[in-house]
Amino acid sequence: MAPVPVGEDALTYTELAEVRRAVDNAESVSGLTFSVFVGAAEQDPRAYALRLHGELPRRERAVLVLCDPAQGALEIVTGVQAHRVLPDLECRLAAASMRTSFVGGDIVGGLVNGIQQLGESARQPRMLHSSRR
Amino acid sequence: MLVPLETLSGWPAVADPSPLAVLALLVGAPAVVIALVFGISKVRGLASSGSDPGDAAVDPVWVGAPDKRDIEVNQGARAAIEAGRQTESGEAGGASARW
Repeated sequence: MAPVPVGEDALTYTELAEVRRAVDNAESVSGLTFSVFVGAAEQDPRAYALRLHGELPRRERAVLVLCDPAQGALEIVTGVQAHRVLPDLECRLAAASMRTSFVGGDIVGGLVNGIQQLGESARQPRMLHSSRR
Repeated sequence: MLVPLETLSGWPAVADPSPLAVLALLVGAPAVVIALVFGISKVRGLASSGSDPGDAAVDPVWVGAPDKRDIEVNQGARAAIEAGRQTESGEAGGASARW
């Protein structure tokens, strides 16, 4: 695994911009709220991710992606409403895709692709009969 | 051959270099240069690995954070987490992966 840029932040500004763009795209496509946490989690990353998710506003529609490169841990947490449009199977598929990139040392690429995949999976189809007046 | 090898008239005669001198020039000098370059690269590698904290704590980064201040270490959230507030989303879904 290639070392993640360390020092002040886990990601460089360029990498942050890429991830942010992916988050914006996923949010606009799905209508959900995406948050990405890259950094050191506690010993139990799942519990840590759940608690982080609990801190988010409108957490029912929030999707949290936690990546701890040091531990090699990835967690995806979906809120109750988000879970309806983004089932666990889709999350597992995205996690598998992200994991493949992470194993190759591409943290940012894995995050970007995974977030886009999650957004596409949760895409809300337009219902013309209800939106047209 | 562009330069004649014989000693020009009026110049003192020069003795042929010894095989050892030829060997030092053709092998020794390049070896010294190679060793120097290798040593410099090694020292730089050691210096960079020495400044690399490795598994040391990396400041976490939020993207798509609630307040949209992306490039920020969310110390407030971390403090709240440390305080042990649990999530209320008991029906939260998702997935996990390790690598």
